[in-house]
Amino acid sequence: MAIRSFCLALTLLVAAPALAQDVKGVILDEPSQLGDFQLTDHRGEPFTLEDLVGQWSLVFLGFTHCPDVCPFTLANLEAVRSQLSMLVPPERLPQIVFLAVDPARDRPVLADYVAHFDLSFIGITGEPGEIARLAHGLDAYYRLEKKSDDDDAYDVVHSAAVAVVNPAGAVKAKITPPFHPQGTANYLHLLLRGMEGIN
Amino acid sequence: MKLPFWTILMAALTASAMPLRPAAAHDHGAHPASVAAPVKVRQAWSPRGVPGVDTRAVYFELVNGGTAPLVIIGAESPGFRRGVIHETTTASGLTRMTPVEQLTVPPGQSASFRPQELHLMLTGAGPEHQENKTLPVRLLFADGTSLSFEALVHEADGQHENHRHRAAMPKS
Ligand SMILES: [Cu+2]
Repeated sequence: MAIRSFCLALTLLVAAPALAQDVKGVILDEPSQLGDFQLTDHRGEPFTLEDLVGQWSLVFLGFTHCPDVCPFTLANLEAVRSQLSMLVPPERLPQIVFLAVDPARDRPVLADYVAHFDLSFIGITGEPGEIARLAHGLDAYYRLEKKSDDDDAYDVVHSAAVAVVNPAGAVKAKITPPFHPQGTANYLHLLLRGMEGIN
Repeated sequence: MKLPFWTILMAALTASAMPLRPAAAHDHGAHPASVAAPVKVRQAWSPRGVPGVDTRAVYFELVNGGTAPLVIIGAESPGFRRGVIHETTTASGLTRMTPVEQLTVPPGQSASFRPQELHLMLTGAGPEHQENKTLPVRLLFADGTSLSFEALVHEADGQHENHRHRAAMPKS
């Protein structure tokens, strides 16, 4: 599969020089179709591949006990979504999906977590095997660094990238941090617009 | 604790809350005297806690205005079981937090604890931690001294810059 490495800074230097900071992404020439998975969202409703079909999604993988990276990434993605809402019609606005990969600690607090940030994002988690299945499809990686049974402060090493999933349920691009809201919104705007003739 | 007037003035001007204040009422007398005056903490804050999540990050700038290197070996906060210095790194697309055993701030320099670089990680919180408007923190130094301050609690905003200009380097 041909992957075109794509530094948007160059493109944006032409389009919007002031906003060209630090947005890096990889666009897949051939979107990578996700397989099915059975997860549960923060309201306790089933969340499957079907919930990614029919609209764009930004999928970010993390864990609720992550104090340093996840809150800022989520805040940035929310800001991206808000910037993007001025550029694209509502039906094109991506949903933000937080894949919580540490279900033992995430499941009990996921609803509170989503409510706490007062964001529009959807938190999803579930059985480890199902989480792994979606993560694999996203080409994302994570590992729980639990050292013993009573270790309750363990870190979870995880992919930093956000997967951009198209309305067919296929990964179209991956963007990497930092997710500067304006620059990332412009990047996604171009990406979504580039897709107009295709979907 | 007696401090020269200028130190108190500087602290008042630079700190976000109340530096050089004993951390908590219940542990008075348990620790040696506070650290030398020229060491100060600025802009201490902590993202608001999430109900049910017992970890918190604390960010601040530690200024070593003294003449000797300042070696941070740990931290504590009442109501939390542990305080550890963490460095967040992203390599090969993977983000992880690595404990930093000790961090040396050379004289005249400062260490910036900021999102996705360095943070003080508090774990094992009691249930009341997300209600408080400030978090009391005590930094522990290798020479047996400590520095107490209060971190202001507010929302984690996005859009932070990811500069790496810190003077102090972690040392393990
Ligand atoms: Cu940490």
